[in-house]
Amino acid sequence: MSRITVIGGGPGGYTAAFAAAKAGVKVTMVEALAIGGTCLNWGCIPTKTLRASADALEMAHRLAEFGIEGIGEARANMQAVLARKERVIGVMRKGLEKKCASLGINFLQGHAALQGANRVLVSLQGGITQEVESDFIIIATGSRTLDLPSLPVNHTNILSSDDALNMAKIPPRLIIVGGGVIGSEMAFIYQSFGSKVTIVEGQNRLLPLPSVDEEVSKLLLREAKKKGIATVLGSTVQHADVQPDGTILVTIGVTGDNAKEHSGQKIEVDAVLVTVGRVPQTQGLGIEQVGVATDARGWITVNEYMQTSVSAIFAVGDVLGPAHNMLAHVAAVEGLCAVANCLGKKEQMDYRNVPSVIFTNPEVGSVGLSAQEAREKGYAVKSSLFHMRELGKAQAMNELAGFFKIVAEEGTGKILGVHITGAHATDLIAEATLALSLGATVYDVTHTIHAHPTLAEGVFEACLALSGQRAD
Amino acid sequence: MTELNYPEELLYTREHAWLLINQGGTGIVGISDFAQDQLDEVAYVDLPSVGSFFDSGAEFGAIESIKSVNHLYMPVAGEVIAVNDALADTPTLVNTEPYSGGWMLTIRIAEDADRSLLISAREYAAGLK
Repeated sequence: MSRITVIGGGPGGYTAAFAAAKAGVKVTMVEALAIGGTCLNWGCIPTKTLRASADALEMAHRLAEFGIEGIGEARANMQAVLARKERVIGVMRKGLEKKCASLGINFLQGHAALQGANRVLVSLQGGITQEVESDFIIIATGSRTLDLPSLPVNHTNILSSDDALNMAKIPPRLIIVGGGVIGSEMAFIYQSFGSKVTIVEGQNRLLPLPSVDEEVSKLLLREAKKKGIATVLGSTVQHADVQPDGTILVTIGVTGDNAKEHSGQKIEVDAVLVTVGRVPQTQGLGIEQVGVATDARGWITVNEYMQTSVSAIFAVGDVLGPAHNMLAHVAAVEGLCAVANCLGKKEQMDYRNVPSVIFTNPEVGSVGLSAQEAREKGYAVKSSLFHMRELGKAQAMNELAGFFKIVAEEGTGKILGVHITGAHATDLIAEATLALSLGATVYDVTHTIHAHPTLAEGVFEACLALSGQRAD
Repeated sequence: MTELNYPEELLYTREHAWLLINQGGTGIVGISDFAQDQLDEVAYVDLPSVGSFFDSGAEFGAIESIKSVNHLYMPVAGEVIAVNDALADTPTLVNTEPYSGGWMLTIRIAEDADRSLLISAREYAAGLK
């Protein structure tokens, strides 16, 4: 019987461990902190739990729009909000623990260090160590928050994203450094809870990721503005002076030309949240000693079979860095791929059509190429944009913000990318992901009946706009 | 159907913006009576910050109503020297006073600005039929 040691119990690690165990492999999974990894404990799940509380508060403030009266002044009780978050995490964690046990996985709570291609030394509690031998090792140790030397996190008022999920008090004035996915999601959550938020982003748009279409960035910027979230683009925080009274005087400097008027601008806030990126979690793992190669920034490098430079050692998930889409669902599929390869099946990882979902308010869901990316790849591109507010369901729900954008190939009508922003965009994108993975055209979508009245009709309408005369 | 009007002293663009050129090289920008009528009740006007510069025909903002979202395009190149803050609280000024209280930007018109987008009230109105 084959033996696999999985280092890391996050989505990459546990998915690999469960699949291997089901295939009859003897699995040892080592986790240094908490099962579920970043996703369950400090990422996906806690942020969405906070977002749900923020949504509840938002709705409480909007009841009159729907003809509901009689509710007094609603506000967030952060102790209760955080307690609920812990409860949800607890439920999910217990589920993972039970599954480990039922599959007979040897779960070790401790820190793993590679001793060779087939041996790991685990440091358990109380100074006890245990050696685990295996045929293969899968590294799934993930990533952690990046600290800026100019802006060291102090966990009291200069915060990391981990801290932002544990704030007992809402800061009246908050600056968020970095307008990527995490910073943007936090901005809308904290604005909902009552903070006056300013986002400082180094590039010239919010969500400056290649997969995010420029029109999505533009709409999010407008929606942020409407909610009173200030955004300073093309700028960075040069300096944060913690004052004697606990407030922070932040100096904003220019990175590009667009923010001339903010050069050297000083803003007084109560807290600073640093969300400028993440770094690989490989300290003490022993990768250098064993010869597992990394790139210049320390992210582990793998081939298309998830194999590292040491053939018996595989790596999946965040520890591979941004070149591999740092997403929980990608880590999970990479985990399955690694296990298949351990079992000799020779499976290649396919990164086309990875959906990405962003829980800002309004939400964003996208899959495939942005219009810009499609053009850069040499496609003859046609695109359409259908506004959310043109849908009867959106009007009935009174959720007007957003749009459905389809990027397709001229002539064939093959769908190259779908970008949705608005209510439920993160769920609506699933239809688009299936369409892309099946190589669908806009005609396939328009020949599919979409129930009325639903938000899903937006995908239909955007495809309809592109389905003029077929070129064939 | 109410009579829509297009004051003769203003210039217009096919994208439904109007421009009032002042002495001293400044101008005021807004959208036409036709545009506000098409939009129906304006819910939000997204205006740029003072100091921004836009080329002739460039997108400078957006206007939202219950039914639609439309981009706003510069009639002529220039630097934004003032925006109408009253529209933040009362966006419907664009509907009730498109040529006065509903003004959007005051700009300093660029010296070498491309003026080819500007047409007379008569040409603009004729184009709407």
